[in-house]
Amino acid sequence: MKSPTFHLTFLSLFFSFVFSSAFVQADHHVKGSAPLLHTGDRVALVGGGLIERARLNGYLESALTLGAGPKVSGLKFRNLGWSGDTVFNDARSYFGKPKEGRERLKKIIAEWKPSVVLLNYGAEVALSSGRAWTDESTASKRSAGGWDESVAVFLEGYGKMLEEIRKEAGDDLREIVIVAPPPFENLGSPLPDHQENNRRLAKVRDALQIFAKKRNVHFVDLFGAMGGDKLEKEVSTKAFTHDGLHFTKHGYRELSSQLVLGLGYEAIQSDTRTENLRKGIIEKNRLFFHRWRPANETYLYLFRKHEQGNNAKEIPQFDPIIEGREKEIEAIRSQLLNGSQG
Amino acid sequence: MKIFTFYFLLFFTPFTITFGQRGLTKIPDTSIQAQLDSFVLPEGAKINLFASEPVVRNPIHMNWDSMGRLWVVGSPLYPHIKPGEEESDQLVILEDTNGDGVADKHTVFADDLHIPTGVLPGDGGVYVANSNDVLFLKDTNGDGKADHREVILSGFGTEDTHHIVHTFRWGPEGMMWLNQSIYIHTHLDTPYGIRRLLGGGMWHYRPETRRSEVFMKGLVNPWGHAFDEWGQSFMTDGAGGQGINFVYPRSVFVASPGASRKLQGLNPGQPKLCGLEVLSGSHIPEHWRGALASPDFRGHRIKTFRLSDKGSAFESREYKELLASKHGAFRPIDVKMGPDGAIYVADLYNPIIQHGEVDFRDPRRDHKHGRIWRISFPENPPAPFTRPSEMNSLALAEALLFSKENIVRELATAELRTRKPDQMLSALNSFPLKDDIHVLRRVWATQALNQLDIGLAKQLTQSKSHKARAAGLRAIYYDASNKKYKNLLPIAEEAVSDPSPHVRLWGVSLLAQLDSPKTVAIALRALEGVEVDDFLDFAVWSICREHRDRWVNEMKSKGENPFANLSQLLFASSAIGEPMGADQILASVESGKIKDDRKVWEVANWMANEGSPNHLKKLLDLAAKSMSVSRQHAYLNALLNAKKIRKINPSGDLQRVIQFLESENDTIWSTATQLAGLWKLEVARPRLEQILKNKQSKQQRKNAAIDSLIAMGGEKTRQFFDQQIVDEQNTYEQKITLIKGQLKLQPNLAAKRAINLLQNIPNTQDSGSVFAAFIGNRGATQALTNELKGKKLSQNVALKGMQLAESSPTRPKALIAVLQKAGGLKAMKMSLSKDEMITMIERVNKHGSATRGESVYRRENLQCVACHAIGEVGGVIGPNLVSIGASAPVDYLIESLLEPSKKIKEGYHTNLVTLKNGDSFAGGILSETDSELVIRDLTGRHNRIAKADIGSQIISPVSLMPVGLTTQLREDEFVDLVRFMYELGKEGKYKTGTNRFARQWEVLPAGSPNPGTIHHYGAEMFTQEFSGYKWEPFYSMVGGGIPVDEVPVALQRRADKYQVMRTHIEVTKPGKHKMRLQGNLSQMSLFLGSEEIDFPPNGDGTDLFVNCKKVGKQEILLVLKGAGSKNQFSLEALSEDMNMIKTF
Repeated sequence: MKSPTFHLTFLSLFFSFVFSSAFVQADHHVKGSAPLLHTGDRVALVGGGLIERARLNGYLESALTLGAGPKVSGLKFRNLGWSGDTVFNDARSYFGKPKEGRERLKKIIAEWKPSVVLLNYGAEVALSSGRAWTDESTASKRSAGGWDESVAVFLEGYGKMLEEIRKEAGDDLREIVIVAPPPFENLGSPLPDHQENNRRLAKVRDALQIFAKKRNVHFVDLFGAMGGDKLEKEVSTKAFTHDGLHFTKHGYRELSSQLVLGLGYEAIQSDTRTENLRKGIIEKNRLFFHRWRPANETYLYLFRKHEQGNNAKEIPQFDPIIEGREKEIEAIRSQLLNGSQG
Repeated sequence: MKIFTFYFLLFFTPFTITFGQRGLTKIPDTSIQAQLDSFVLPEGAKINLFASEPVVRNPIHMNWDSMGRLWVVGSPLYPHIKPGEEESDQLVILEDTNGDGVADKHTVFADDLHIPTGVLPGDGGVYVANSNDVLFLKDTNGDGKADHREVILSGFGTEDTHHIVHTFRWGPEGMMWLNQSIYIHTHLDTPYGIRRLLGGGMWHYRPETRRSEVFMKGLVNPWGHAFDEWGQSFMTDGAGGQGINFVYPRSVFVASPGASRKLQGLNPGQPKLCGLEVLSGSHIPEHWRGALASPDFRGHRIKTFRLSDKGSAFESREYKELLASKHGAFRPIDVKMGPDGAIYVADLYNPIIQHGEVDFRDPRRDHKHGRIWRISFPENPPAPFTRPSEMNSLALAEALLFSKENIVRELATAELRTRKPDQMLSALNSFPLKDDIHVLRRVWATQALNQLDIGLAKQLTQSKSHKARAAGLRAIYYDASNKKYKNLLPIAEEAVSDPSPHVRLWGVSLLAQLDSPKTVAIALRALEGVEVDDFLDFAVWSICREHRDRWVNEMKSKGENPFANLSQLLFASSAIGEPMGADQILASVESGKIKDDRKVWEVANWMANEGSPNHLKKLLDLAAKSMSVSRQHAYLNALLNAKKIRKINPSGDLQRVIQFLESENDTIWSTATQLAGLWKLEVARPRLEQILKNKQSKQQRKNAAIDSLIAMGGEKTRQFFDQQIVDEQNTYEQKITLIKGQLKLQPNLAAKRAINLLQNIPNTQDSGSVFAAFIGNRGATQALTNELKGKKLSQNVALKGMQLAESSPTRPKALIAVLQKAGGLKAMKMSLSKDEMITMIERVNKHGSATRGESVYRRENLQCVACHAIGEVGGVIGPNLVSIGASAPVDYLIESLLEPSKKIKEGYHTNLVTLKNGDSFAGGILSETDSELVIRDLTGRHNRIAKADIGSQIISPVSLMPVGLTTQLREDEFVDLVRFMYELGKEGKYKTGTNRFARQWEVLPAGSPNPGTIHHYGAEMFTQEFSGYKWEPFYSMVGGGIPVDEVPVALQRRADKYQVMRTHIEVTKPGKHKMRLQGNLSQMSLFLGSEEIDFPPNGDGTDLFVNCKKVGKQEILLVLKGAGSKNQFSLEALSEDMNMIKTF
């Protein structure tokens, strides 16, 4: 059984801005449902640039791992975000057709067997009215068509991607979380005015909410949680983003809080102790990036491997280093959570 | 001298040691002095060390800031981070505080980078390429180190770390420009949606708006980009070899994935270049100013080029060398003008470059050194420099508008962006401007503040100077898609009919940014009234495609030609690859309104690609009515392609094609025959069988008949083939021809027959073609393998088969094994043991003669010249060898000759396409559309393949270069050949210089037919048109000379032996132009067109003045009577107003 779709309330929004205590009480509405994360969970974060860049500051993982609380342990995270990605995973392809990108995602899912997959897609659709947002051959032209068609293609693609992920992960996969993208921020001219884009993104959010419900998977409305429904033409004073789309560190901190609140957890505010955890996570992510998306793939694994493929032997040597980092992260986490409770 | 054939070396028992990259045993002396001693400089120039390790290590890229400091990124981590290693590459700021030309202060701004390949200070910080990301780093607390790090752009691919995002530069309009290389697949999330660039190309990025857009696509390693005085963009390629490339919006160049059309660079045959800078400023001697400098990092030198206007684009001519070195680790990879007017060169310092061909962890790779060199001219004072960072608004504006030093204006542009726009705009407006160039600079300055003065830009488009008009259009181009400005259409509309094709090009580029439904109709006007070159043609072609929906929808709704004439409609329809307006156009062909044969071919090809069955019927009608062989061929060929590629037939009666089986023209006959087969016209069968039975039939007809019978298929074909093959009356050649057909129908039977033939092969016959036919088809390969089991073949025959199989892109292992057994051969092992390699290297160094090696290289049967060029001349199948010696160690050369597949140069990987029927094609993909693929194979042939027929397509790990080419050489010849290659591109005789020799010639083959009037005209006879002349390519030696004894004797009459060659010149101005002819003058006659050029009857050479009355391309004919002489001759252009050109 899946837990019911989560909704954010004003309360959670309110708490996310309260910085007085280390723990913030989450929404009661969600509290009754079973917690998302279990001990030993392997959590895959899948999406485009929003997820990919989250690896660089570690806020998202910090919030999730701390939010899960002291009762669970041994959580592992893999950031599988890829800039410019869509539900067809076309950004993940190299020399082959766009669908090769799907194969790359399937491969890592099959290898790592996540128990929880958290996905974020949809901003690219809202930003690309009348212009193709994917190169995938069956979808490209339709994605450049009318708005309804574009959203339909998006949802079809999303559904197919979920099926494939389920298939590759097999029985290990317990939970899927669909995250509606946060709103675009209006930072004033000469940066683009996102009023129209946000209206479209609100529709993407609505569609995703129904989509998630139909498939009985979790849904988190970051669009609403980050104030998307209230954004109008005026220029944002929050400066959560650099450019209207990409989040600043401050933006990621806020967004991460909202995400865990949306999952029914408590958001822990950062302090010097959580900083150590976050730094550990950043370093682990850096190592995993070299492991999973190494440079020079042309030589390591692809069509020039007969020349320099012998160098690929180095790549698995990252594994024990990553493992070591994860142990350190676990130790800091445990100290943090048990320390704060005690 | 003991001669043993190298052949036997290949039959050693298999080695256990595989040889690696041990040839470079002499690591160059790492001292500064060793490098200083090795430099060769132009007159008046001096070089000094500006900075070196440990401050700078393996520098990759550099740029100056507005305080006059040099920011340098380097990467000891390259080519690949090791597990457990920190990201520790550095960005260092270098300063020369006392003006002595040496950096005396350095600051490590960042030390946590991962293979940084680009750096660009500005906007109060610095932009840095950091593998997947572009970072913006800033020092917020004034301690000189970065403490703020922001990812500006992410999503750049890293599939190869010398391809990752690079070549940062500020444009004069205040945008950041950045490039990526061939293997990179980039997907940027931007606030405007996702932007993708797969393969090489160039981006521009405006920091204020965060908008990134692709400017052009293609080029293998576009490691250089510079703007000329008028803001036009030029790029160089670190692997493409076409020198300077003129690029403009939406232009597409070599290696762009999936491109159906590509443009060419301006200097084909140039070595690989990295970096590009316009030499400028008052410090350097005047003759250097305006030249484009680009390092030839393989050849350890810096080349320069000069540009002049040509059509819609430019002509680029090689100029003098700026710097050369004999030091094997000197790797100039970036060149920038400095604030003091001197020229700064970043030296990666590495004896090993690249990591595709040399192991990532090769111990000879340098990770410690790095140098920045400074070239100055001590007799000239340093250029005046005031730091733009210290200028007040007025001074800054004045510098931007009027400074004579490019570097000052460039740095002032970056500085401007950090100032208050209002203050700067009023400062800029306070100077009255007269010259176009100053107006342009003001336009740029407003654009750099992201506040384009659109009025002033429009004013520029009305200038007298075409360069200013083009620049005005370019300025508007960037902002046109913002929808901020209205009424841009009339500007573009005026520009497409400008007298200058260059302005038209920019008019079309601007149109492509606009929303009007009329953009294509307007753009097509650019093709009328001027000579249209490929650049302009491409721009119009591109907009026809990009804005397809606009005009196609109009045409569909109104039902009439939306353009001014049919010619425009034909152009636009062919461009999009759809039969829009085909009925009207075919009617015009029929009525004779379309007269030009070339146009008819264009129409026919277009119909082949896009026409409906009714359109094809029309082609058959036209063919039946036409009396012209060329037109008949055009129509029939189109029908054949429509069938082969698109699998469609004309509607109506197909039998009408049979009438062409009466044609006396072999090509028409063969095309019609193939059609008859594909259309299954059984009525043709008896005539085809007759052709095959007749020993006198021409091979072309026989091949067509076989294809046709295979296509008809059925029991009749099978029976006929086998009857003929077993018929004792038939010759070996006839049987082989038929077996090649049979193997497609009955591979097992064909294999049996073939083995039988090969076992009894006459001595005079070659077994190659039959093996090649079996190896070229998957099913046939399998059949031959099965049938050969337990059979015997002679050693020679089996060896031939093995060589072909070894070098085939499919590399059929099972077949190789049975051939080996059948011939009793030992395993063909091409590699040498470590000791053998060391011995071989020693021999090359001690005994190898490059002079003898060059003549080995030029031997016809070695085929080197047919596939590889050295500089401008030679084939294009394999990599250009112009600087191979300067970049590759001896062991690499030996290994590559023996085992061509071991290391394959970037961009020369073979695509292997296997059709559903088992036929395989290997080569480079020339172009690709939705329905077909064009592959250029080893023989240079373009094979059109229907995508519908393709079973699989992979990138083959096997080189196109056949294995065993060198087996026919004696060992000493092999050693000489390696030595010659080893000298290529090094300082000395085997470096192609800047002399403009006629390097590309054509010759008449030995015993050519002739009009028989030699007794009447003498040598002049060869200047006359004669259809029997079959000119063949012929190339000069690296030094520009032609060995007289290599030129075939075209005609022998009594004691006179005539050797006939021709080449072409392009004349840019009429007048008497100077050329230099060297060689035995008494043996030569020279003609320009049909006019004989006078020169002294005796001597070893002369400078002559050729009276060129008209401009454009003209033929030079040289008749020699020196057969058997050991002399050489050469012809060289000296006048600036004429040039030697390539003709094929």
